[in-house]
Amino acid sequence: MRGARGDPGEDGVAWPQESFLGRLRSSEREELLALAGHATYEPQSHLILEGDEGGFVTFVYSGQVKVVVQADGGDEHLLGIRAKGSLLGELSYTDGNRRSASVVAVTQVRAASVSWEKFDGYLRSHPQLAMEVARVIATRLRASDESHREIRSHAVPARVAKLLFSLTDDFDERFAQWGAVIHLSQAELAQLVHAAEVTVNRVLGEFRRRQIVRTTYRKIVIPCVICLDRLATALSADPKDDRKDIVGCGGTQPHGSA
Amino acid sequence: MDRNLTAWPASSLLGRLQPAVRAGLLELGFEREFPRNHTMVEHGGHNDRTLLLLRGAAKIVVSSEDGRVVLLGMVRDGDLAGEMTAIDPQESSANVVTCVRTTARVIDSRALKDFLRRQPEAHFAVTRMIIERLREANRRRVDYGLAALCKLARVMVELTGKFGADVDGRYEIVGCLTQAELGSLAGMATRTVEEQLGELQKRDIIELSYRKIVVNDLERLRKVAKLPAEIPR
Repeated sequence: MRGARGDPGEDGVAWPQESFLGRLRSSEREELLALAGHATYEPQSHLILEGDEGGFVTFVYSGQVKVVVQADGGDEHLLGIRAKGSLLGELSYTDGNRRSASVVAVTQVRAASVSWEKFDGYLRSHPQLAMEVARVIATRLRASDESHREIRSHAVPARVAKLLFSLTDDFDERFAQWGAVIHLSQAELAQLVHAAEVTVNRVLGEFRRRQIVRTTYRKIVIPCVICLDRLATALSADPKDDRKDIVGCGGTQPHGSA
Repeated sequence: MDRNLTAWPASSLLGRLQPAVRAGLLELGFEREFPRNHTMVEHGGHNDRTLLLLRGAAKIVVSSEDGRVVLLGMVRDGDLAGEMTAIDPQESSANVVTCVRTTARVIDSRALKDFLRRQPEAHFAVTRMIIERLREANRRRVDYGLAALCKLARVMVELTGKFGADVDGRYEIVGCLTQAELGSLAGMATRTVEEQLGELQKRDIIELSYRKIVVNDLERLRKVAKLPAEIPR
C-alpha cells in the first residue's frame, strides 16, 4: 500500500495519503468528522442514488464502493471504484445538479455523511480546503482523460494487467505476503478497461493459466502482486508481444522482504 | 472595443461570470495571438500557464503511446485551457492546439490560482466547467457500448451544441477535427467514423466539405443519436 499519514481511521489502518481525508491535517479531519452522521452499509446497498437531488457529501471510513451509472436500456455501467478516505457526492455538492451516478457498497462499508449546509460552513471556516474539493474533481478528470488515452495506447491484456495492479495498490484486501483480492466481476472489469466482456474473459483465462490471477464468483484473486506488476510493465512496454514467458509464482515466492 | 461588454457564449466560462468578476479575470496575464494549428500548451511541460481564449477555438489532445492522437475535448472563445494546473499543480496532461487563428490571454497559473482564491464566484465557475467535462467524459464512456452510428451522432450533437455556428438553421462545426480525432472521442475506429459519416451524409443529415462539417438537420441528427427532441425555447 502507498504511504499513509496521520492517525489511523477506526479500522486501525492509516488514511491513504492521496485520499481526501488523508490530505487533511488530523485536527481538520477530526473537526469535519465530528459534523458527520456515521453509518454501516451492507454489500450491494446504496450510499448515493443516481437522479436524487443530493443534500449531503459522504466520506468512506472503510471498505470499498463502486460508482455506477445506468446505461441506455437500464444496464449498470461501472465508472470506478473508491475506497477509504474518499469524498463522495462532490459533483452535486459543487454544481447543485442531481446525482449523476450511484454509489454502491461492494464490501461492508463504514461511511460518514455531512449535510451540504454543514459542509458549506466547514469550508467557510477552512477556505483552503475548498481548493482540496476542486482538486478531487480535477484528479477525477485527469484520471478519466488518462484512461481515455489508455484505450488507444494499449491492447486489452496490458489494460487489464495495469488496472488490476492499480486496484491492488489502493483498494486491496491483502493476504499472505503479496496476495490481494479485488471485488469485481469480469463484466465490471470489462467496463473499466472499455473492452468487450468476452475479450476480458479470454485475457483472464490466459492470466489464470500463467498463475497471475485466480478467478472466483465476483472476485479476482491475485496470488502475487509482484508478478502481476512484472507482467503489467512488460505488456505496456511492447504492445505487440504478449510475453508468454512471464509466468506468475502463484504466491509461492517470497520475492525478498518488504 | 471593450470585449468585456460584448456577449460571450453563454456556455463559456466568461459567459457565466458577473461583469465585475469577468473584468478582473480579463486583466490577468497578457494578450497573444496564435496561428492556426499551433500548440499553445504542451503535454508534460511544466510551463505553468493557463490560456483564456478571447477569439478562436482549440482542441485538447494527447498522444497515445504509439503516437496516435486522442481528442479529449474542445475549447472556444470565453473558455480556459490548461486551467487544471492552477487547481492541481501537476505537469500539464494534454496539448492544447489551435483550430483557427486564436487570440488568448496567457496567464501564469499561480496568478490564476490567487485570483480564484480571492474570487469564490470565479473559482466556483471554473470548478463547474471541470465537472461538466467530467460528466461528459463519463457519459461518452457509457455510450461506448452503443451502435457506431448512434454514438457518432451523439458526439456530433455535443459538438454542434458547443461549437456549431448557426448559419440559417444549419450548423457549421469548426473544421479542424480529423476523422481519427472524432473516432477517439466517440470510441471507434477511424474507418468506422468514415463509413458512418458517409451514412449521415447520404441521409442528408450532414454535409462534409474540406475541413468543415455542416449539420443540415439537427433534429434528425438527434433522432439518430436517440436523444430526446429539444424543447423549443
